[in-house]
Amino acid sequence: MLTRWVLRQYAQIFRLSRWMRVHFTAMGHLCLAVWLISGIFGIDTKASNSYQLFVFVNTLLVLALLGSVFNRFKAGIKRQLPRYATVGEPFTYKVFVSNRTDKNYHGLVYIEHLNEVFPGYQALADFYQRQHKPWYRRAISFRLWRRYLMYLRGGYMGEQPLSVLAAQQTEGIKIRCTPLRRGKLNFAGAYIAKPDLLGLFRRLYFVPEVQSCLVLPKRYEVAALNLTGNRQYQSGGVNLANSVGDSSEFMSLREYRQGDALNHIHWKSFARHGRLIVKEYQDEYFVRRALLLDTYQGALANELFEAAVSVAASLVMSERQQDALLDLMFVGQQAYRFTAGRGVDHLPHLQEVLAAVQPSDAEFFGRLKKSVLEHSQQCSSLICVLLHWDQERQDFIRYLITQGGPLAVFLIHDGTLTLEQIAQPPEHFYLINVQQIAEDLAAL
Amino acid sequence: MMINLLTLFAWGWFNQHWIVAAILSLLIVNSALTPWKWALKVEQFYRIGDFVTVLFVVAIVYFSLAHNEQRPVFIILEWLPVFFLPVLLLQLYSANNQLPMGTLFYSVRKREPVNYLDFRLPYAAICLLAAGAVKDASLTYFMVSIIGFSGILWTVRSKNNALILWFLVMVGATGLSYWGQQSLRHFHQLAEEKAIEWITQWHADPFRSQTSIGDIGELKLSDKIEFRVDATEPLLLMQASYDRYLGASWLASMRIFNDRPNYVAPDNRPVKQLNVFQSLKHATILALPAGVAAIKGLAGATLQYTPLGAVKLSDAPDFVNYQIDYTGQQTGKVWEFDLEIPPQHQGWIVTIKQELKLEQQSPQAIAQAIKQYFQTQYYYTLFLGKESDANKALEDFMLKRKAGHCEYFAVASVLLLRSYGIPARLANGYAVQEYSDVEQLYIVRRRHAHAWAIAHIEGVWRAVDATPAQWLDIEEQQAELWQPVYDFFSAAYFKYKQWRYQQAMIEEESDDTLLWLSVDAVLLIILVWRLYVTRHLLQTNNQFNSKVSRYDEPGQDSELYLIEQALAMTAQARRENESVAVWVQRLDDPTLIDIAKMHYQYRFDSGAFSSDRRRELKQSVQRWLKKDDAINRV
Repeated sequence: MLTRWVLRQYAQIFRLSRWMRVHFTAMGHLCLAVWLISGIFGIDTKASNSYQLFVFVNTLLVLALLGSVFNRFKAGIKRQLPRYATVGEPFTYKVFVSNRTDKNYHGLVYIEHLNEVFPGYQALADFYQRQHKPWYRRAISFRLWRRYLMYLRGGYMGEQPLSVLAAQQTEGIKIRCTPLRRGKLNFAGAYIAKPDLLGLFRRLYFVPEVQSCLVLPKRYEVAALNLTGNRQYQSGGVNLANSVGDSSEFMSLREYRQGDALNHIHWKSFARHGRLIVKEYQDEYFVRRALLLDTYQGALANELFEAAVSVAASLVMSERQQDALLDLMFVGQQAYRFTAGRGVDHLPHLQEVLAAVQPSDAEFFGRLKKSVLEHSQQCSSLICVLLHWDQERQDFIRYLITQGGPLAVFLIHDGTLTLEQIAQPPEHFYLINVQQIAEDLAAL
Repeated sequence: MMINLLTLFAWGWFNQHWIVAAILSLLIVNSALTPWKWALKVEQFYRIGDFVTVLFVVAIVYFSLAHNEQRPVFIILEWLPVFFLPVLLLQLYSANNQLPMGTLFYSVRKREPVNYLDFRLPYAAICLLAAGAVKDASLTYFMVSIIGFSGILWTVRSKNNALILWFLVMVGATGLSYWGQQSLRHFHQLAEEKAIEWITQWHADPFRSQTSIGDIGELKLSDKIEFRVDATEPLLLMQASYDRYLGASWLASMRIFNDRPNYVAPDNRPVKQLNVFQSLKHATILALPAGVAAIKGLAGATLQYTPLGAVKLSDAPDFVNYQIDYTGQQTGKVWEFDLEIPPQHQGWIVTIKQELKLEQQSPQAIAQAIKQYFQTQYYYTLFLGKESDANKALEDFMLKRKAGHCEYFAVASVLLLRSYGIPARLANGYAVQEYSDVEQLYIVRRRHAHAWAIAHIEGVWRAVDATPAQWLDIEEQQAELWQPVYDFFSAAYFKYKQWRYQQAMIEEESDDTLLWLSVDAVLLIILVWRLYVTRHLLQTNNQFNSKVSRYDEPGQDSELYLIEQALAMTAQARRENESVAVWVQRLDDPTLIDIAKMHYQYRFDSGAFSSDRRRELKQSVQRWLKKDDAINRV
């Protein structure tokens, strides 16, 4: 009850502090500081002269606030956003700001506005419970609250000054954005801040411009994995490797032989040559890998889950497009399986999928297991990115080993595990420390 | 920079710190003239910011503890330009002429990227603020602060509007501020008067005592220790006496404070001595024993007196230790109101007098009998009763309730004594009775505040304290649970204040200040020295940049490079990406190999490279070059 009340106050404090930050210029803030200090010292008008400065600064601030009523402006914006960005890697995009008035303006400031939802109690509690902090640091402080809000918002952009914006003209500015999390970065619009006559208070004009940009998980260099696996028969060939039904890969045309199926006759060639020509098909054999991502987070820190997604994304990136098919399997509300490579789909598409992966609430490993077992016959090799090493997962891995296919297991941990602690690890078993993912992946 | 100099000038002028202002101005001006600038890292800015913070905190603590006539906060305000000077100089003498925000605001230090600010304008504002630390009745500060602040605002005025509009707004703001500051001063005066009126209901007022007679509910006074007394026996200390009773309040008819002591030297009566330790905030009314002969130990403070026995102490330090010589017998004239009885009280007085039957007895016996009567027939209670009319409340106390707090007993005693023709007054003060074995002193708390009657019997004003003796026990029971904890800290604080007081008595204040200033100066010198010795970070102003930047890495100025230049375009030239070691090996020249070794030491271990070795390197290279010339000539 108290926590909820405190969180509500955080939201109020945040709104107020942001209002102050965006509405007052640097000089406005200096005036506020002088106003406060001279007010404190000037409370006793008989003790010092500070109250005279207090009254003057107070008058200036009131005039600046009142003056903002007459402060008018009209603008339009157009953004050029990149399609993808990567977590933690700043990117730059261009914004064109148009002055829709007949006057030149100086000292305007462009402030980007991302969609934001204030974190609720449950979300915050879940997020910070996972940090496993000592009891005396479990209280959600304002700093943590604000950090989580920033995380939800997804990106950080500073204010961008517009030197001069000529009447009815458009000016392009570059904005640098640092994405803070995976997923969609939702741009709601932008504020154009225009200072008042005294240069203390800014009036904000909101220009709506809804756009979005997809932030991909962080990716690292991965050393080549030597998983020696056989090619497997792929029913229906590459084109249908991702579909169901019975099909084969088209190879060439040849003359009709008795016993050929009638639906293999190529009627166009028959019309051209006057004799029966049939299409010849060949069953397709090629390497097909499966990448399994364990999305059950349980009580683990968010950092670990993000690390698992990053490792999966890095593994996807390390695949060469023309070499093999790659199945990405994970469980959300249901078991998902996405295939890419060899012309079926572009591998970057799997990155998009990974950008949107969310932790599964309950223990869905059973479903994932089932999905893997169903397709294990088609897969030449299997890569598992795991977050836990419990009995169920150990049994599953042991079963896969008995199936004989090459198998690699990546276990994400918080630095507390060593290889010696793992009983009977498979041949390709890698511990990835969340603190040094890049080093661990590069040293495979 | 001009605005900084102007505001510093204003500060020096108002606070009379001409020399300090001149030194600060010189330092600021010098920053523009000197070609030398420090290339400081962000962490070094933060370190100096921390130093200023520590200096600031030390100053706050020092000024709070020191005995000063001025309030500590105003001393801090007055010296703000000096505290913040290192920060300004940091910016002015640094190569990029900007200050990372984290230098002043700890909370933004972890933010990326680092934000910078220009501290010159905030410093000008600080100077203006500090200039207002002194009280000056004229409007000079008002005008100067407006001019100074307008100068600061001029730099950020909007270019979107006509300049004349800016001037008009500033003139309008000045007019409004003039009216505003007059109104604020007037409002403050008014508020202060009201506040004094309100506060005096709880504190000793030498002219008027608002009793709790007629109040309802329960009386509650705090455990706060008002002062400590070194005395030989428990006694009553009086702050003021009142002769006129008007319903719920008592008035002192002679209310003008004057400089003429209201006590006279004892006439051969034995004199006892009291030692009082008291913390003061503002002017206070002293609590004094009966028959004061002299008040000692308050040199420098102002004492004022009223004929009715009140003594006001003002202009004293925040902690005082004074001695009172007293006889225990207060002499003084009887005034016209000392026998006045309000007519609304005649009724119950007649009833009680019929019960007492004390006519024809001596004043001494009457006073004793009244005291006895109250102590045996009445009870002490902190319950204030249910009667809200002050007159009826007293009657209710006398005839029905027969229980009340000390004011009831005191007022009733005064009126009864007067009814027998004995001049009497109401006295307010403290009962000194709680002895602290730990402190070896009597402790006087706020709840020991007491009222009693004084009667003029046989030429002496004698205390007639009719309140039943259990009143102190009942008050004692009201003590808060945490009183021992409070007492412990209070005793510690008292000991500290006592120590400080004694120190101040022994030492000259200026010597102490000098010591503190020396400590600050030493710290400042260490800081400047540390900055100075980071020579590798030293770089000159732009005009020297091109020359110096080559040598910003140690060993970049090694003479070996002269040999490299000399051999360029020859078969022996150092190849691209060839290390010096490989190169000299290829040339197979033992002298050159030695030079290369020296060069490596200078390049990568310059700390251990002595000036002798440096000279040796230089000479070896010169010798080698000469030899090379000779070979070429041959």
